[in-house]
Amino acid sequence: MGSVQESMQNTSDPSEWLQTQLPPIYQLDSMLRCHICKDLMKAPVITGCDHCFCSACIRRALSTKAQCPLCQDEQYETQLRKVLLLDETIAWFSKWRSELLEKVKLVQPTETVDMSKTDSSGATSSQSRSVSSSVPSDKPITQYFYKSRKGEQQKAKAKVSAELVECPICSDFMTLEELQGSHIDECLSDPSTEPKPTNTPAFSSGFFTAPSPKQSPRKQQQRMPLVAPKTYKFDMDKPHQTQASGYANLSRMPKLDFNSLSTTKLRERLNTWAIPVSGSRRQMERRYNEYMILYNANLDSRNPVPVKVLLNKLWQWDALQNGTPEDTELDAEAKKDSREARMERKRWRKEHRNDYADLIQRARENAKKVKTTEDYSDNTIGESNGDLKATEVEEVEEEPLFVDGT
Amino acid sequence: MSEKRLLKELRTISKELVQEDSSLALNGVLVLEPVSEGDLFEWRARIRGPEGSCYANGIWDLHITVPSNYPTAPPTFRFVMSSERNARLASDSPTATRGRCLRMPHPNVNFETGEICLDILQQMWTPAWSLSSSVVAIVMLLDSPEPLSPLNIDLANLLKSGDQKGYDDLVKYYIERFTIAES
Repeated sequence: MGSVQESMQNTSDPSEWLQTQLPPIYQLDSMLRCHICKDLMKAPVITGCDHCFCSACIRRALSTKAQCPLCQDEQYETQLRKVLLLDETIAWFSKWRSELLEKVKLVQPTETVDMSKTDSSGATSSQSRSVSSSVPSDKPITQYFYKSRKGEQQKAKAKVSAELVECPICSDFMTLEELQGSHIDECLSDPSTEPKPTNTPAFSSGFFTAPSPKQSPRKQQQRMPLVAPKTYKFDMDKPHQTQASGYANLSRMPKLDFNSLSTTKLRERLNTWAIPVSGSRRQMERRYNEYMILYNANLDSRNPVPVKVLLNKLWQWDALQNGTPEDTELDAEAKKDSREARMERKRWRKEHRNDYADLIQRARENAKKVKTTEDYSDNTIGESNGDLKATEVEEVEEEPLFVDGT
Repeated sequence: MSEKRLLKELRTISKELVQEDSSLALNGVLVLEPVSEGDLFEWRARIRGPEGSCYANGIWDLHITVPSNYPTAPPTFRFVMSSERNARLASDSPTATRGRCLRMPHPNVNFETGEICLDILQQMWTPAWSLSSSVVAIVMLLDSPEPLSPLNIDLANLLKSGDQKGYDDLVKYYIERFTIAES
C-alpha cells in the first residue's frame, strides 16, 4: 500500500492550489491539463474542433476511435496541429509550478492536527480563509508579493519603467518625448537595429516573477531559453540521417495497412524504423502502432528527444504488454497445446472411456425413442415435442453428473 | 500510462470525497476507492439514489474493473448483487440502520447480474470521462431510465406503457424487500 500512497504524493493535481493564497490558479492549472491523461499537456496539439490534448494521448485515442474525446466530432490524426504558444506556456508553468506553490502556500500552520478539516473545506471556503487568515487582512496579496522583493532598488526600477516607454522597434526604454522626437526615425533608418533581449516590463513587473530578483544569475539564465528563439537539437540516429536538414523537415511515420502487408514486408518496415521484430505478428503490429504514436508525438514536441529515447520507451511499453491479461491468456492457450497438456487429455479420455460410452449409448436410446414416438404419433405434435423436451432435459441433467464424477 | 492517470484520479477523488459540497458528494457518491490498496485496477463505489426519485431511500455498491488500456477503453461497472440468504433484512428489524440494497430494480440494469447498460460506458465512451464522472452518470441514470434499451424488460414495459405510479411503487417495493440491516 505504501507504494500507492507514495506515488500519489509524487503526482500533481490542480486542487493543490486550493490550499494556497491564490486558489484561482486552480482554474489555470486545470486548463493546462490534458483531458486524457490529466497531466500538464506534453507537446499539445489542437484538433479540427479546437480542443487541445497531449499529442501522444490524442493520437492513441484517435487510433481507437476517430472522434474528439470532448465533443465527439469526427477527427483524424492528420488534422492535428501543434500549438507552440501553449507548449511554451505549459513549459513555463511546469517549470515554476512547484516553486510558485511553495511561495503561495498558506503561511500559518493552520490546524495541523485536524488535517481532514483542512481538506474538507470547499473551494470557496478555503479561498476566503486563505485570504483572511494567512495574509493580514489589511494587506492585499499583491502588496505581500511586492514586499517579498529584495530591495528599494527594485522598487525604484519599477517606478522608472512606469515613466519610460518602450520603443516598438528596438525595445529600448526612453521618455516619451525622446521617442516621439527623433528616436523612431533613427531607429527605422538604421537597418542594423534589432530587438534586444531586455528585461521587458511584462517580465519585471509581472505578478508571478516577483521572486525573480532574488534569484541568482544562473537561474535567470535558465529562464532565457523560453524567450530566446529556439534551436532544435536533435540527435539523428539511423535511419534518419539522410533527412539531415533539421528536425522540422522530418516526415511523420505513416499508418500501415497491416492487412495488405505480408509478415516479411512488415518486418522490413519495422527494421527501417529500428523497431524490434520479435514476437508474433500481432505483437509486431501493435508495436508499430505504439511506436508511431510515440514518434509522431515526439515531432510535436518543443524539444524532441532522440530516437534512442523513443526506442527505449517502446521497449518499456513492450515489457509492460507482456503482463497484460490478454497475453497471459495467449500463454495459457499455448500451454494447452504443449505436450504435457496433450498427455493430460489422453489420460482423461482413458479414465472416462466408460462414462463416454455409457452416455453415447443412452443418447442413442433416447434418439431411437424419440424417433419411434414421432413415427407412431405423427399428428400429435405436442406429445412428441414433450418427449423431445424430456430427453433433452435428461441429457442436460446427465452432464453435471458426469462432471461431478470427475 | 493508465496507472499514472488512475493515481491522479485517486488523488482528486480522495480530496473531493471529504468535501461536503463537491460534485461527488452532492450527487450521492458515498465511497469511491480501490478495493485493495496495492491495486489500482479494481475499485468499489457506494452510491445513494438521487433525492426526489423512487430510488431515494436506497444505497447500492458498485464494483469497477479498469482495463489495462484505460482510459482508451472504458472501465466496467456492475452493481454488486450478493445472495441474501444470510443477510438480515432491514424490513424485518425496523430499529436497525438501513444498509445497502442487494438488487437494483432499474430498466437498464440486469436484475440478476447487476450489469449496467449505459451508452457512455460502452460505445459513447471517450477518454475524457473519468471514474468519478462515470459513477455520477450512473447515479443520474437511476433518475432518467432509458426504457428503449432495457436489461430489465418488466420495469421497462411499465414505463413504456406510461404507468409511472406502478413503476415507482414496484421499485420502492424491491428496495424495501432487498435492503439489508446494517450491523
